[in-house]
Amino acid sequence: MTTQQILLGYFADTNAKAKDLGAGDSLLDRGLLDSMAIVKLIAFLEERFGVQLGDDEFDPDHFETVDAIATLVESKLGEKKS
Amino acid sequence: MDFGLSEEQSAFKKSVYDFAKKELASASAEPKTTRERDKVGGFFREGFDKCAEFGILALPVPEQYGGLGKDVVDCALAMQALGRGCTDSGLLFTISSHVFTCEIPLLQFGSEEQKQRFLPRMVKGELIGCHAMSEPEAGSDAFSLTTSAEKRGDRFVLNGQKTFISNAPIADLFLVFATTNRARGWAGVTGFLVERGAKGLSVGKPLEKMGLKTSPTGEVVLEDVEVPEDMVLGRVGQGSAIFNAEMEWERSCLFALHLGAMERQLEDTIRYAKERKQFGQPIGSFQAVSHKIADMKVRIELAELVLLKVAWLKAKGSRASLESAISKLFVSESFVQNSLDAVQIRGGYGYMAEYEVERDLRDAIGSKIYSGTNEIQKNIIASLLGL
Ligand SMILES: Cc1cc2nc3c(=O)[nH]c(=O)nc-3n(C[C@H](O)[C@H](O)[C@H](O)COP(=O)(O)OP(=O)(O)OC[C@H]3O[C@@H](n4cnc5c(N)ncnc54)[C@H](O)[C@@H]3O)c2cc1C
Repeated sequence: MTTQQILLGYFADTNAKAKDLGAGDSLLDRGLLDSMAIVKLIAFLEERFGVQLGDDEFDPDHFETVDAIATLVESKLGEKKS
Repeated sequence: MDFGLSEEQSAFKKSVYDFAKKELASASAEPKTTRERDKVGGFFREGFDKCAEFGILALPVPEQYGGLGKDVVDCALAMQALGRGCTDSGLLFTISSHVFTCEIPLLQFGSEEQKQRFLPRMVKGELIGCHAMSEPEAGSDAFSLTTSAEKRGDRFVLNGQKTFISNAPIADLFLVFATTNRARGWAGVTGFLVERGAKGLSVGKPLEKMGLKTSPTGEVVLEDVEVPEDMVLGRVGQGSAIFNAEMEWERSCLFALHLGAMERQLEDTIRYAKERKQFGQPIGSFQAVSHKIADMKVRIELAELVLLKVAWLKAKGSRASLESAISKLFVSESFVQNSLDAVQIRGGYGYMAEYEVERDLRDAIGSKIYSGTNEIQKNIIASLLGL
């Protein structure tokens, strides 16, 4: 499964409004990411992918879309490998 | 798993306790005692300056900005020792707001220029910081704030009102949260550094409170306050990241003060229960009293464990959203209950201001409200459990 697919699955499981979510759709505009949902999402990313996000990475730009989150996760995984 | 403190940590903690006991017991001018200041709502500026001199305001700040570069665990230990050694909880609350909700965000998110400009003076106590998030209509739902930041050329123009801001009446540096785009909710919230004296920034009279009376609290009004672009803290839209990061610090270090205060209460209560006699025997020999004291001790022990766990997690670079919510909830509930028990065990004396036990209770109640109410902590815990 790709990172995007895992993330789309996460949103579909946790929010009924996310069933038809596309990886490029704005999560904020669709009301899928309020301040509590982001804390939950970060906990999920850290657990599912084994990455640790720094406080300054907790930035709206990184959470705009599923694609953006996947890019962040993959860059963190890349950092871990190197 | 190692629950022990290193020799260095124990010595450091003891030195903070000895300092607090000796130097923060009394002011050189009226009002001298905590009780007197509590009556008139007096801020213990001399105590604040002594803490600066000792290095309390410098604890987490790296040496290059004049600080001591201590980690979260050491900061929490220092706060615990201060809470135990000093009865002026308002002074300690002011210090905590200054250090953990103003210095820490600057350290974590500030530009090099901002750090150089403010941190060395904050460490010395020359500048007092405050953190202005809450608004009359945005408390628990903090990110629904309406204070606006409109971009005009190379600056932002801030308009809005903040309330319940600790240190506002005495602050020189205001970390103000405002939205650059309300439609984006939390993602539009941005932190701005505003200095006292900025045109359009005004601070209301200190608000009268139930407790923590020696820590001045006030309203902040922003009317067309111009803030240069280079006074944005972090990036535009990063306000919620700043807020969440500093809350984790606050939920460990501020609440360590309360742990220390509970230890002080317990020592005093045990002494009282051994000395006070009724029906020909010390009241501590009545199980109804000794069990209350045992319960106080159990809460302290658990509060210490949960609090130091958060500090340890943070010191090793982990996020501690769940653990810090649990810790905040547990420590504050324990502080209120232990304060109630301390009053009850002293009977009528506990109710009288002269015996300085009722003040702890008044001071404790706020801890269930600030840093996110306890109901909100339960929401966070439940939510992180997938509910
Ligand atoms: C001593 C003190 C110092 C403070 N210092 C500062 C400071 O320096 N800077 C700053 O920005 N703010 C500060 N505050 C403000 C503090 O952060 C807020 O008071 C707090 O977040 C609660 O907001 P509120 O008072 O508007 O209550 P509300 O949010 O109106 O809440 C009222 C009640 O409803 C409950 N409630 C609200 N929403 C929910 C929900 N979703 N689920 C369950 N229950 C809910 C709350 O738990 C509470 O019991 C301080 C407060 C105090 C008491």
